[in-house]
Amino acid sequence: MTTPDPMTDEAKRLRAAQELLDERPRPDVRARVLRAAAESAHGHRVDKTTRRAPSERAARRWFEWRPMAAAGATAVAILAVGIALRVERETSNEAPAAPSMSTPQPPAAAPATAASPAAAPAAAPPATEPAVQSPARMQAPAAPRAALRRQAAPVNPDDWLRRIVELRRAGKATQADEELARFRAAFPNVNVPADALK
Amino acid sequence: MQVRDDSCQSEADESLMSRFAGGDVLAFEQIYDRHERAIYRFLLRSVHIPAVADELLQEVWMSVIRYAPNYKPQALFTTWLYRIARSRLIDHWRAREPEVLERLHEPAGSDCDATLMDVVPADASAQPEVQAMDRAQARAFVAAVEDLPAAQREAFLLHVDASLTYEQIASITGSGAETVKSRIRYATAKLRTMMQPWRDSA
Repeated sequence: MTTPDPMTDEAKRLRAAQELLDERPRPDVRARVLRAAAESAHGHRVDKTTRRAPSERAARRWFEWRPMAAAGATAVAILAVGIALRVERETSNEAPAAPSMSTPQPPAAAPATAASPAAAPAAAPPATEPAVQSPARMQAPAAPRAALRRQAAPVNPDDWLRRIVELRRAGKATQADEELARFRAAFPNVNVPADALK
Repeated sequence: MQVRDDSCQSEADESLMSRFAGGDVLAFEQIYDRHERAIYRFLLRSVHIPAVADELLQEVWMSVIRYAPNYKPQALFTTWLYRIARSRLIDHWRAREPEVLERLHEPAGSDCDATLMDVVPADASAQPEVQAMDRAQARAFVAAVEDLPAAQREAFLLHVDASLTYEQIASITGSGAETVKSRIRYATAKLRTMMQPWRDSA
């Protein structure tokens, strides 16, 4: 690389002459150029500011996203409530039919079914015992599960016998016989009165 | 006379340009103040009219701002800057003085006596003369520089005022380093001849 020769007389003369004449551009040129530079760099400056204060940037980002987060949380809450209500409604629709359609279960039968939910659907028809046998029902909210527990709980033998007697008086002998068979299985040691037998 | 440390100067320029590309306006202000007058003088010597030089100076720096994102720190900033300035000058001449463009590509000594360097020896007593230069002499010397053929003037100014090497000037002007060297020699010889009456009177 060849560097300028500082000892060249003409180079010295040129520099001396230019220093003496002190030639400068108009000041407004500088002002215009610097203004254009500032405008050009404006977008970058914002980024630099945010780079210097990461916590501030995080806070700003949180404020920007907060409405969306709130909306999302609200939607999830509404969905959860909707699911809970639907489950409860389904359970309550089935609950009134349970005492009439299904006979009271023997005390040992309910725990056995609950202990082996996978095997239960094969043991009993889903139409009559879905609330206890379905695994989804096992995760039902507290209120429906309490209803299920009440349904599966052993009933009073006297009430059960009284219902059998009512069935016979109503002329529903077949149904009364089925109920009696279940009663005997559940309470083998209880004496059955005569009006429940005929 | 001010002699710059080219290596340190260039590094600082490139660092400042990188900072400006990242949005630092103060870095641009520094680099502008550092080169404003040299670029202005280069333009003024080339077009002779201060108002035109002002206009071109603004265009040069607007180009620097526009092209800053494309600037690669590997390139010497001064070379890049003068290449932009030369491009603006060529645009100016193409629009207003097309004949100057033709002279920019003339051979080194086409307008100059081939034996000029021999008949006009270097002036050994130049230093006191330079020190004693008055305003009239300064104007006369600057006018002599402006009267140089375009290619010689360009090479001389880039070498003397912008402190660029022959190779750097060659890369800016698109000519060979030897051609640049010849142009500078012819320019120097011509300036000696033109300033001879001033020396005689002194």
